[in-house]
Amino acid sequence: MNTAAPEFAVAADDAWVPSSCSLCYGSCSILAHRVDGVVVKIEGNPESVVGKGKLCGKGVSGIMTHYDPNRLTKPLRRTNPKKGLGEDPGWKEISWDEALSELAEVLKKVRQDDPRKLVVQRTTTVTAGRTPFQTFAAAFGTPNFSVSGGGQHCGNGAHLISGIMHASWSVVPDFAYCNYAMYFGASKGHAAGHASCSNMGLAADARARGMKMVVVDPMANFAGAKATEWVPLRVGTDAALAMSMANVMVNELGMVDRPYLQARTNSPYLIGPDKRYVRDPESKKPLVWDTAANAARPFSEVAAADMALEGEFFANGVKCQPAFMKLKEHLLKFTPEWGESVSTVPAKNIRRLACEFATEARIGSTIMVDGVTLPYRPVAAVAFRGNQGHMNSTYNFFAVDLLNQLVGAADVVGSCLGFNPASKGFPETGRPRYVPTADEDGLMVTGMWMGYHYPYPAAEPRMPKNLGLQDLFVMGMTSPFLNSIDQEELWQKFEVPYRPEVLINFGANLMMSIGTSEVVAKSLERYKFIASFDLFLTETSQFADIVLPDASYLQSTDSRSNFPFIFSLPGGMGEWCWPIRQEVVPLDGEQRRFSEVLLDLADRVGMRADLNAAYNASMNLQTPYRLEGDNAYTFPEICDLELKNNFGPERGLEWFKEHGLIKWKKQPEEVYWRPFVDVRVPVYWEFMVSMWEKINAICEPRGVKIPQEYYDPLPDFLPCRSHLCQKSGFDFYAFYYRDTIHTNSFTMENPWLDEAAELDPFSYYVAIHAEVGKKKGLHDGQLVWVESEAGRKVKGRIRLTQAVHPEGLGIAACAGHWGKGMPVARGKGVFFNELLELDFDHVSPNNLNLDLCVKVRVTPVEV
Amino acid sequence: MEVRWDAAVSGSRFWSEQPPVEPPMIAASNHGWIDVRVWPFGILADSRIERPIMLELGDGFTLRDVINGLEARCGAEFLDGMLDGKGELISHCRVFVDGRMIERLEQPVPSGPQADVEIILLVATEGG
Ligand code: SF4
Repeated sequence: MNTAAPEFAVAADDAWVPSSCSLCYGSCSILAHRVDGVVVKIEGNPESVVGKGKLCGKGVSGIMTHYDPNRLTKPLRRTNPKKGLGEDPGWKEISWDEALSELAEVLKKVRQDDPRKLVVQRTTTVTAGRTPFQTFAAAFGTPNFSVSGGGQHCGNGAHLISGIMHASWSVVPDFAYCNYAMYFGASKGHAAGHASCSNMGLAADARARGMKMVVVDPMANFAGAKATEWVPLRVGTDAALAMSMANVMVNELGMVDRPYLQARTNSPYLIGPDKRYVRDPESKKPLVWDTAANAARPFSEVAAADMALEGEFFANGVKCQPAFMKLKEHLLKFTPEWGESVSTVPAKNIRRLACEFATEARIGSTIMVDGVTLPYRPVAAVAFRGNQGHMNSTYNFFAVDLLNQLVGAADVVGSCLGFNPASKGFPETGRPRYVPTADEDGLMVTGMWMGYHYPYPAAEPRMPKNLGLQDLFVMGMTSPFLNSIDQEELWQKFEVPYRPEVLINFGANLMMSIGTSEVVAKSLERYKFIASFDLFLTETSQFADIVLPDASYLQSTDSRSNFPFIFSLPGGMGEWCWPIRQEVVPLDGEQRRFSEVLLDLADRVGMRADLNAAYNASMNLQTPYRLEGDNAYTFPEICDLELKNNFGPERGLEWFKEHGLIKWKKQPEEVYWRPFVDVRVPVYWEFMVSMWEKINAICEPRGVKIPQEYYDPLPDFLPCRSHLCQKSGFDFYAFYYRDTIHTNSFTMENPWLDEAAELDPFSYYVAIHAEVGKKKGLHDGQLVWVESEAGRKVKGRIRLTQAVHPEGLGIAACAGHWGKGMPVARGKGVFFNELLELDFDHVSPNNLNLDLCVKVRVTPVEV
Repeated sequence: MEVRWDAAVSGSRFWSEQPPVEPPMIAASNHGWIDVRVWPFGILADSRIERPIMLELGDGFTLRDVINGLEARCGAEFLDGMLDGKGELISHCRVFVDGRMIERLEQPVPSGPQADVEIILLVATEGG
């Protein structure tokens, strides 16, 4: 186990060390209290904007993860060559030199042969892994980088569309000014996630101020429990509700922000009969109808106020309509009555919600913030994991954001905000500076992103060269095809010229986090070699050839624990804040920090110059802070250079270790940047038309059907597999939700969090509606089988509640560990992901999102 | 009072102001020709191609000139991962000239009599 560190255990050792939490990707700033070499308490750092001095239950419990006696302390090598579910690897302890020599030999061979045969995978829980593993993959030369289930289940729709519409990774209400927030399958400010603890404080203050919160969700848990109104809906039908609301706003109430639509969206762009923009023959710019000149002219030459939003025109020899007109007509079919039939939300409620949202938007109003007059739209419709974890991922999210766009509630005061899409940088250095820009069509290109391929403009679909097929399905960020049952069939069809041979895994437990374990196990068995950096022996590390004992966050350094700002720095006014993570206690046993092991590996493989170049590019290091040639920098040295690069020569790692963070004031023009930057967002996704044609041209000859309705420029409701299930007795839509007590599958091993989950009425239970349960003869606490249409089964205890939709069945978190390496977690909770099929048929053919709802039946376990 | 969304703010130069500290510009060469050393990294560092690749380009060269030079020297296949279908730099391809990031192909590249061009493809996709 991790013990008191002798070098720290001196009488005078009593320190509060500023650092960053890593029990989830929120990366809240902490103060770790170390006494005589032992961390005795973890509190929030009140100096920091990230967490604002508060921590969640997981954050304070981090101490128990760090000192867990089940932590790995020595490198392990498997002696049993056979891999599979239930196979004992026959672990043997080896030295680091043996472990890294073997791994380096494997990597050298594969790099020589074809570097793309290496897959690098990391967990989303530990943000510190992002840059080191991305740079390692880039330097090695593989495009195959994955973020396992945390990425796949969470963000293909949410992040991509937040990027296209708000230039940020996620969206959140502007809590300080918002008066009416609608949440669709989201919990921002009420549970885990981006800027989690900061948002919890901001949301609580907003509710106390009187912000009305309407939570649309099949379950009233974290957000719903605190809502002014909970709107239960049928699982996966968010787009139907949102489109019906949009129809009411546009066609029944006529309440839209026309000047916003004219000036900051592509609403006025003329659309021809082929669904594409009508373009100026010379400049190729999209045309709008200039009502002053009574002629079609390039959008860049017409005053916004003169751009027609409605009507039918003739331009370039074709009949055309503004995109807004197309949208308006498209919406007509989504009547509230139709919306009710799909979502079960009563039509009269849909009308009321639409009216409330549009009225509360106060279209046309302004407000002064810090002396700057700005548009004021104090409403926000935000969505996240629950909304977009479906076949209809793209449209579920797009439809919700349309509500914001229609009333101009986008990145202005009180509205739906992206997390910090524009930064002018630290005043003394002007770094990091980024702001969205416009492409030739005037549409917004984000200024900062997490990966290096921006969400818009989308890449050109092409024959895939990466294993996840995102080269072809260009709306997809993360892909299930690294683990799906049909991966080989797909790779053959798309002529992928190589196969994966080596996996480097950083902390991801994909056996539990993606889909049914049997299928994921098969995908792991086919690797010739797996090396896994882990804190514990997980169900996934059982498939590894070599396991490397990692340091905990209390033993690690990271110069960018909260960067980029679009990820987990709270949005809205306040301060910019750049905290670091630093070692609070030293390493124990033979644990090593992954960041330094990767540098060691790069030297052994002979790719240090490539890695230095990747760090230069990834951190945008400028002379004189660039990494030179193949110099063997240590990780703290790289951190030091990055900090000096951004904050000046006097503020390197030592300065940050002492101060913990740096902060400076946000300006209204940064936070509410939309009126100041001439970019438009697409309410009509014209680019989808040619995208489908190009994708289909590759897929169709290979027998892969790509339904065109997934690539229409305007959103629609498209059913999940579960909505089409007719099998008798299968009458629940099963879904899982992120428990605030736990992060993915990782924290189940933490004894304090386990205890809290045991006390929680829902954490380890299967929630169904009380009346429905009683009618089925089920009682509270009863042990049942939850069985999918495909015959996959999980066991769990029933919790009868009023707080779930009558057709819904809610399961918390990613529980149900079976491995011996995490004994606290073992056998706790319900393993929902076991019910998920992992094949092309259960993936959105648009953004590759896995369908996360399953039609199930519930039967008592015979005893 | 109803205010047009785009009329609430006008004439602000907030985003057109330059950062307080700009990286130093290196004066252009007077020699007419510049020795350009191209350093491909990661997947672009094909073992069949010796690093650096030496090019001789005219004063005030652009990144497009570098690309054309690379195509002539290493073949079109070399550019496969760098350019999109329209012949533009893909967004996860990063190019630095003498340590400064260059984003547009037509952008003239300031340099001295010798220039170092570093090219690397970063990881395109990332979720979570
Ligand atoms: S929200 Fe995440 S980062 Fe913040 S304290 Fe909780 S576990 Fe730690």
